[in-house]
Amino acid sequence: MEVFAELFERIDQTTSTNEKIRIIADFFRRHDADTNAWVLFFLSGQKIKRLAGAAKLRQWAQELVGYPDWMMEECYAAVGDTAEMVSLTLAAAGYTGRSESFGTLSLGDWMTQRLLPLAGMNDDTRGRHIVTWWKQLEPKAVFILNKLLTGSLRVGVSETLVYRSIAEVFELPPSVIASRLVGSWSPSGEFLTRLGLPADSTTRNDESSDVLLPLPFCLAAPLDGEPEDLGEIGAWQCEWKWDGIRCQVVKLGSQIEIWSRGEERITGTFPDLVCAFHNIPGSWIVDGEIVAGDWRSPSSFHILQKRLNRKQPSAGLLSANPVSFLAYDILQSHSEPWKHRDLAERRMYLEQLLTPYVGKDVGISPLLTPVSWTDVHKLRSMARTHGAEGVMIKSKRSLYETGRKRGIWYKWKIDPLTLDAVLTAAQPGTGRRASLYTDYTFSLWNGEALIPIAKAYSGLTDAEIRELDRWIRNHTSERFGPARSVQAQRVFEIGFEGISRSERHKSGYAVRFPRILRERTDKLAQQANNLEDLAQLFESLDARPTRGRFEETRSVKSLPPREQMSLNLVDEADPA
Amino acid sequence: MKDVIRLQSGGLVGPDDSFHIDSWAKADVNLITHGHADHARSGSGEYWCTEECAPILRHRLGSDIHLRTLAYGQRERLGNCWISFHPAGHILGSAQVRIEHETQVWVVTGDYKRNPDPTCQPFEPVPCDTLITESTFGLPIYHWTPANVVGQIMDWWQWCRGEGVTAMLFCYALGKAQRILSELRHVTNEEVLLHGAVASLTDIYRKQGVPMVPTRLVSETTGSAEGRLVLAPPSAHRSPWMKRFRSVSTAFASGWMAVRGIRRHRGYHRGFVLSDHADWPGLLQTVEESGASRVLVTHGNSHTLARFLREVKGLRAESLAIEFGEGED
Repeated sequence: MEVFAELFERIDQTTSTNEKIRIIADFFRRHDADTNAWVLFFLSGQKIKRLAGAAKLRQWAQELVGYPDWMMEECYAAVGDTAEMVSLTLAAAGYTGRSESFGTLSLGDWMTQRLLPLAGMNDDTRGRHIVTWWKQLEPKAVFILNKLLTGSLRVGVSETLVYRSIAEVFELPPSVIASRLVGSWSPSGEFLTRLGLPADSTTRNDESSDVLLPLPFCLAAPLDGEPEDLGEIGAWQCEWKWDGIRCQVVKLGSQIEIWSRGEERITGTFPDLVCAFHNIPGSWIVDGEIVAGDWRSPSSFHILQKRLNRKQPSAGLLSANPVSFLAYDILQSHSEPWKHRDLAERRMYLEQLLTPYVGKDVGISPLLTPVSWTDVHKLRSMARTHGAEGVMIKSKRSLYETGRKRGIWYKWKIDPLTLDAVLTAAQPGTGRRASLYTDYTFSLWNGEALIPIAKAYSGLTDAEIRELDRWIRNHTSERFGPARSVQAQRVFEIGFEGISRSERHKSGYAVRFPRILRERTDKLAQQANNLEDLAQLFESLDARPTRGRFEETRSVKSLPPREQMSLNLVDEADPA
Repeated sequence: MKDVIRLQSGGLVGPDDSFHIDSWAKADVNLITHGHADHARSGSGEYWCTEECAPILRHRLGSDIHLRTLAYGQRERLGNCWISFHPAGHILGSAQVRIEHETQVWVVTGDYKRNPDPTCQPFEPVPCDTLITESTFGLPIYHWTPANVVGQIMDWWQWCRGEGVTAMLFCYALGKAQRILSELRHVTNEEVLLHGAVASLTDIYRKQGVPMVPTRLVSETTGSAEGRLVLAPPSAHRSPWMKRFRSVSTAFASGWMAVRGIRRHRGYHRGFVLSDHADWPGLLQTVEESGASRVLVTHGNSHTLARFLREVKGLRAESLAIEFGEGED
């Protein structure tokens, strides 16, 4: 446990990918196969069944230190993480690190002899064991133990980084390691030994040393100025900017992996899509976006959230929350790399490959066909009605570059809806924002009263957060445990993506994805918006015509009158 | 019985307004517990502080301030009170203020710590009836282990040297920096580079005979800064001043670094848990040793500590809302 805690701390202390690989590789060289197998298990994001809930840990710790409930609450607010709060509280009260006896037990033994058997015990027995371990371990190891017990350990490494580290240890290509780690495996020493066998003496018959890994993603930069600055429109390809999960689908014969932009494998989360990809023959890497509902009129990202982080979604969840895939780009076909060809060429090939298989599950992101930048401005203003969050502008000559290269791909997002609201309450955040008041409540006037309309967490810089935190502490009007209401003085411009009616909210409306755009230091609290303004904004959006996005029209050469435009921007790739 | 020390808009005030303590209003007589900027402010007619604190105060507020210095433990009459300063162990020259008024004894701790520090006199418990204590780290999650922090700093410095990067350690320019420079003597005698803000205060410490490793201003260094340890104030983090260094590993030495979320939020590569304030056990120990029947709590988690003393320890305790800079350490 101690060595794992140390490894965790070292990874936590660096942001350098190469340094992380070195730390992990170094760890693997120095430890036994059982320990390494478990470390690999946790590093690659796998989890054991939860052995104790956060509430239980907190209760057992509280029984030990004897603090009142409100004190535990305050401590949690300052730390923002139960596992750590418990370890710090116990350490400060002198309950940890009282013996050395467990320090030498390997992680493998910890898991198989101590942690896993907890599953068969009742709460009391479980609690007794855990309290004993707390007393014997050092605080850092208590923290890791708690994280393992609650199944909430997250190490700051991507899956591909782990593969590269292991590959370095075994001197094998990362793709071989990746393919051997596909699917479920149990963390044992034997498994680890097999993992390190030479590439040609494979033990799995479906294994191939071909690439099942994604290519580094090519990312778009936000468009800062006006699109007119980009020159001739003919040199640019325009698409909607979809609000979904950017990913790469890697298909190799019958094997399929879906990789998120963070290079996490999300194949298991989307078995419905995997099924659809099986229908498309060949071996290829396609870049695209998973969107909620039918790609022909995607629904809110909200639906997609219900599908996230579910490793084995139930059939019910799948059918209640359908998703589909919109292809953007092709990066590889059979063993032929396409990333070094022009986007225009790739696009043609993508359509050639996918068009016969387009259906409700898989589509090709439609091309927009503006003939001038003025059209692009208009398209952008209509994005919301199409379920998109802006327009993508990609150079037709662009290669599929690594990372965010300037000047080739731009995202031009729509301006959010905005209101000026008063900061009325705050509570401490969690994780890296623990101890700081970062969860803000914003309110609008309703006569003399301020009615909360949104909680926002993002949009301020770290320095602004600290300044606001200090101000909140000095301008508290009332305290409710760790939360505080503050004097109505500071006005912020709040941006959001949509408004819906809500019975649950006092204001009668719920806003989607609220965030802070800037502070309106030029405004007094009295000058903030009122509920009536919100209602009017809602009415104006609600009144917007929602037209089908794919109604057929013919010509795109000359733009029709304004009111018909959304019907006339043809999606060339539309197979219908 | 009337309170000897009251809270006004400008801070703590003695009977008949005869003196203020760490006032940010313009006071006739301002008793200064220590030289940190949120405790020592300009504009007062006369300042009282310890002999060790005086050069720091002059450096910060100007050499022309009207200053009266007292030795630790020296009793002086002020209005109808007896005043004395007692070591607080926070930084060089830091003091608790003891106020004796008729039959009552009050103690204002100022900032203090109970852990050893080679640059200043250790905290001395002062018996009193009413204690006004700070509570920057007033939550039972803060506990400064006797771990060898300077050894950790040294390990990191060596690691930086191996990587060919500058070890950029941020810490408060007054107190923390000199404490690190002094404790480093146990593990090295190598020269450390200083940001200008740290250097001037380090000179003041040196003149008072605080032993420290050799130092040099960054701007006076001709060679490469790679592999060197640099001490700089937190305000220099991500400032243009940083541009002179080719590649750096950044670290912050503070009690706040005990919490992982805070460490990550501040965005330093490394965090060393080194505080000049009392931790939770230190706060409780101090309250207990003072023998005070009434405790007023200022700074940071004052509500939490006050409520704990009231509900769990059965003391008369309340929180005093003093608008200091929040929790600098």
